[in-house]
Amino acid sequence: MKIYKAQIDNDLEFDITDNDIDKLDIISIEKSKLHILKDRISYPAEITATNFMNKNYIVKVNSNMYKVSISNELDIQIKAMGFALGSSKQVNYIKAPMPGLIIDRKVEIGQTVQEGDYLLVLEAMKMENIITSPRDGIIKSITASIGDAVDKGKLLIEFE
Amino acid sequence: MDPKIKILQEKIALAKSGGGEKRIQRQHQKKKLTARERVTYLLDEGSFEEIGMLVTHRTTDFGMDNEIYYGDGVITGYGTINGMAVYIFAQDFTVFGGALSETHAEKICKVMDLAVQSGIPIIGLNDSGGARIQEGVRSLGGYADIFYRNVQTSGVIPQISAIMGPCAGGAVYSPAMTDFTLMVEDTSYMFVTGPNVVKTVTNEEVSAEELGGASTHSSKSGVAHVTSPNDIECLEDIKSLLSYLPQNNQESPKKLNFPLENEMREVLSDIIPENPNTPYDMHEVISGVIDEGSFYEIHKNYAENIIVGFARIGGRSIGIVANQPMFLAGVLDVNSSKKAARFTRFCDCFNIPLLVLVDVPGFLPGTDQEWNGIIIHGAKLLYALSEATVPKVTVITRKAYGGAYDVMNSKHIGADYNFAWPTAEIAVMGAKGASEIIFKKEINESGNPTAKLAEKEAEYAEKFANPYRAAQRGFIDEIILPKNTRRKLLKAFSILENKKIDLPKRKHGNIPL
Repeated sequence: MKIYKAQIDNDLEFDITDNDIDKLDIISIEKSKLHILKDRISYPAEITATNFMNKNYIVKVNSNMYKVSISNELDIQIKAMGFALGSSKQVNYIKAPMPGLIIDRKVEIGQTVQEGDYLLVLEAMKMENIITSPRDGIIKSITASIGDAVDKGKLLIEFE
Repeated sequence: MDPKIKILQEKIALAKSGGGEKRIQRQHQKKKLTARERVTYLLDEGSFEEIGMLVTHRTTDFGMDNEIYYGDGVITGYGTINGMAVYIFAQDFTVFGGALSETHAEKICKVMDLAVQSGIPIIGLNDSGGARIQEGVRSLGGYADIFYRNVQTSGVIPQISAIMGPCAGGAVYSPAMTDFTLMVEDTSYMFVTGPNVVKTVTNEEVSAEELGGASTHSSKSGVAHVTSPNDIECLEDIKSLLSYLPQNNQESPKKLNFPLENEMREVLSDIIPENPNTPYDMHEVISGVIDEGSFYEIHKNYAENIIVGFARIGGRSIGIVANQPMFLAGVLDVNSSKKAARFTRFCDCFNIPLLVLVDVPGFLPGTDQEWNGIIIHGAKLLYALSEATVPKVTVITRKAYGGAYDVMNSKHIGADYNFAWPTAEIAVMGAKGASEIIFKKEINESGNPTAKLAEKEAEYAEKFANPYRAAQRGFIDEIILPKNTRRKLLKAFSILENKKIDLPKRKHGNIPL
């Protein structure tokens, strides 16, 4: 027996099994329109929007719209383990991406920076490489000054 | 219920429970999904067909005959991913820590054989402590049976490995011989010998993560092609990667429907900075020519002076190799040459056309490079691009100097179309160095050598630091406006679709390894 969790409009949540679904009397009237008989009451229903990837549906029953999301046992497990798509690690350090010479610095300790802000210029192979902030944050420490020759991987800036 | 059917159902239930509830919980605590959950997530819903669910090991030593689990620590079978057929094996850490036994290996070999015979990609999800020590040499034999198949299969069907737990000792060589290795951050590691052995042999103290974790292999060694923050991201990465690949070496990647509209890209006009010493991000050029959001980068954090990855152009899957001026000015060195060469050969194996974007000042000078064999490693890229018979198109955006010009898919090594932007500088060396040599006598004899050098430098730059000399000789087919690049590439890859080159018979070439 398979168990699914159904969530309606982000508040009502209940479990449903494939046996429960088998017990319903469902007739498909036309594409995405259904007629459902449950406990001798008839419900016209229409699936108006579908997101297969996230298992989200918008269903119209008796002219009321409901947002329904269905999760199976694996989805529940993944949620419990805290996995999410699009997650990434927070960057706390900026290290020299390559050996070179620091020729300019635009930030000070304690300064608030935004993603993409100009932090340092590292000259390598005659090229002036601008190092920009990978995220919004506050500069905690700076360990490189103008004129320093740095090796690859040397810590340059630390975020709070 | 018929008792015979009941027996079967009990056995299936037992097989599906792997190493038992307790071990499954432990797996979840380690932030890892179980093998069965991974397979379920990766494959299209309901598409998985399992092979050999009831296989068990045959070992009797050390009381092993009392410990029998159906499936013997690996789930094998086939299914589809976005409708594309794949064979798959997933090691189950809850059974003997995923340790590889003779029968475990037999199961893997079985799906590998089926995959290659039908021309269907194979995906391996690795999560194993190593060889099953109780079996001794039989499990070693099992590894070698897999290695041999990896090699026989190489270049026939795509082979993808995901490392989603430990992978140590001999086990590492199977992923290493597959086409792509993906690793999950923090939960996976790969090494030939673990930290304990390292300590006894060399007195070096190192953690498993530092020795062979995902970040080490994605940035320092280049063993991992892609890293993902968790299990499901890793499985999604496999799905995306597969979407660019054909089923086997006889087919071409599936072309997606792509209605063409206005394909001018004005953003490309402003990318090249006025100052030649100012770098720019080659990713901007890539995203300006490909179908929006279609770039799938390989080796993102390794040898960043070259960018490689898959993309689509007009719905057609292509491989991109591009110098990155933002990183070490985009020079070619040992690691970047190896990285680009391997990627190029993969694309050539599987009929994926190549786009090469060039902004290269040359090869990296120095003892470090020479002593590490830049000659032989640079030759790998030269060899790989020369050898490739898939459609090959080049765009020179800025610098193309010296031997690196030849290497980066020049006309001379078999490129089909070579385009250059008006900002291109194609020359044997930089203007300063060249004038110092050519006009040495003249400069030394003049009253003001510095001024004379500057004058001669300007003269040389005007004559040679442009794409017109190369265009005169036909080494460049057309000098194009940056905003037209996408349009030109769409047409070029379209006309090259049926390109065919017959090579002379030989066993195999001898790439400088």
